[in-house]
Amino acid sequence: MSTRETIVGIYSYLQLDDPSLEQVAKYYLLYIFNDHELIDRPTLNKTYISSLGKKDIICHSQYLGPFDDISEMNRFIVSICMELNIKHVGLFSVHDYNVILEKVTNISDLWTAIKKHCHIVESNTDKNTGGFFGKFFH
Amino acid sequence: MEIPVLNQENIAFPGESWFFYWRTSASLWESKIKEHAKSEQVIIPLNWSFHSETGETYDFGQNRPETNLKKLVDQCIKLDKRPVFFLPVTPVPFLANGGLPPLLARSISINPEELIFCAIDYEGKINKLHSFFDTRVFKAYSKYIYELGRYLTTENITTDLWGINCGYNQQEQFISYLEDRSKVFQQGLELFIQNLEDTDLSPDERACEQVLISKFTDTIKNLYCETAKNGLLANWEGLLNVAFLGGPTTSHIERMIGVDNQRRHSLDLFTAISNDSLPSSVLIPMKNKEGNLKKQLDQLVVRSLIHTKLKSSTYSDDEPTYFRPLTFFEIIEHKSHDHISDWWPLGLLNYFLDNYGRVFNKTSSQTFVNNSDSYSFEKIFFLHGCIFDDVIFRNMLNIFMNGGKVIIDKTNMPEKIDKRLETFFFENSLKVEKVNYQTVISNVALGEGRIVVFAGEDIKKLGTKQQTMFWSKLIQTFNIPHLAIDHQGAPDFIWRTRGPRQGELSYEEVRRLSFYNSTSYKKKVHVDLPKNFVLMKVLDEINTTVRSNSNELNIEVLPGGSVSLDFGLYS
Repeated sequence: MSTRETIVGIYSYLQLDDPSLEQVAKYYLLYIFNDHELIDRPTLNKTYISSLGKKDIICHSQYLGPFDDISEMNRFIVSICMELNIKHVGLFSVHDYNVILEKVTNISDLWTAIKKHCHIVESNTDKNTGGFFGKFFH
Repeated sequence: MEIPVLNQENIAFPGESWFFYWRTSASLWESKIKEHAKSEQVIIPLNWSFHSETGETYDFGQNRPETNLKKLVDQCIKLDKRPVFFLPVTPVPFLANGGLPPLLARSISINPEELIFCAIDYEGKINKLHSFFDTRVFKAYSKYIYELGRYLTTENITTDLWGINCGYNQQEQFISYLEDRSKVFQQGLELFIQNLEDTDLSPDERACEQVLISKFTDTIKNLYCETAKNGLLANWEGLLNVAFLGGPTTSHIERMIGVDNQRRHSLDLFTAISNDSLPSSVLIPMKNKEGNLKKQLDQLVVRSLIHTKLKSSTYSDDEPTYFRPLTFFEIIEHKSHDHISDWWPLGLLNYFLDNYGRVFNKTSSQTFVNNSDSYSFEKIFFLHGCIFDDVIFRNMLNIFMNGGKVIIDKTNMPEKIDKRLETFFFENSLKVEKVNYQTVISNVALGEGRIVVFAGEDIKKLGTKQQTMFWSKLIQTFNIPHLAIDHQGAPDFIWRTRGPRQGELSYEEVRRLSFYNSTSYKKKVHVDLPKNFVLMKVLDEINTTVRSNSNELNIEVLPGGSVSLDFGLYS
């Protein structure tokens, strides 16, 4: 599997307007991409189920989730990193992303600014939740 | 390091004969138009911020020659081109601040995903849009329209002018750049709710936040539109939705990481056409518009859609020359708050795409009402029960009495409308035939006219295959003459139609089927030819093999390949 350098996720905290769903707000990922592509949905769905051990993924064309809290979303993103052999990760709320967007004026500066805010995933073989990975869970 | 040199053509002519007049010297207008305007029309999008920095004083050639619209129009006419003004009634994605004069750009706009509403232009600049819900912006806009109207009258400029609602397609829906969730919007929404009359909305609607947002947004959009129309009545031709390719956030991300996803733009182009919008590629760099996308923009937009959509009201309607999108089905939308059509959960979109291709059109219920004097009675109209009011009911009956066909999902139809429909059938002694297939289907016919009524809730519960079977059985009863294409493994395709020309009078209609393979794989397709279809010619073949006999066609399209086939249709 080839190495992709960075994976970025943009998430929102919202209540989906669907009467068939529980009417509470949860976290959803809007966009997940790496240096070369938007990550395809089948890969994300598979990892969601395997990393979180739950199957209540919402089949919404736009939103991936739900995630009960940010640490659950972090676990998912780290699993994607390991799945795709990726070194850097950045998880941004829509508000975090807007803060970056307000300060830049062109597309290449935007990507530079986003990467600047990404964390390093140190080891691709260390799947323990303790140690360095523990820093992602808060 | 190689420094990219922007092609000078891109700067002033970024796509489909749109002329960014502010991007070049007025002394060069004539030569640029002569060299680069590919169609008969020259589209001139009016740049508010270029004519005024403050929104107070305006320059239409008094100071800078580049603001002289009279000179621009005269030069177009001198070159035998037809100038057409596009006046934005929303923020625009190809200008800084969304086109607002700098002093008015105070409240940044937030899109429905809660991201800053922005667009990436063809030079990679990020244009952040500003809210049109700011009352200062509306006041300044009114003054702009007044000044523009006065100038057009004084200079005797009679150029056609179209109001443009700028947006993009996402998940089969048109999202306007007017839509906003900023603080300014929220403040306006609260005032709007406080001032609602009891009769404006039902108690259920009042309780639904998304309905209130939708109603408020439509009210403001109509305010801008009516202001423009009333102030520029002598030139006003109507309102157009313009769908900008490269508009959605997914496109921004792909631009940012250097992905050139032409196929996404192609599919967005097809969606724009079936959403009854005019597609525009002005946000996309020229280097990303090669191959099939370039062909599609030329064939489907420049040489076709621009002519049919921008027809002047003074011109004759009888133009068999240009192909227009083939449309069998007209879906009248109830714009629900999350932008999902009421018809898609019933499997209708999948059925259309699998069996007919993009031969459907989606229009808003407002457009349906506004266009009541120009319905095409050959189409099948799909009306959802929740959109019905007295006006829509009358228009529906008008279609039926004139030989048109209507399919009605009576889910959430107001009770009084339901009763009126029953009364209409009874008082006119119309026989109501009922069939029970997945739901009770009522069919009423009068001459060529038909009304079909069913309960969509029953269809919504079905699985995909059963939904497809339901639609298949129902639509077959309309006997639509069409070529069946096996979609599995087929390249992307689009249908267009025109009337017969001299020498083609034995045909009722000429249909053009265009295939485009924008993938990396060879694509094959088989087409059976019914007796009333004749293959007239094969054209624009690139990397394609077409094998035909009187009964069938077998087409092979290599990666990057394309082909068009013209069929004559007779009864």
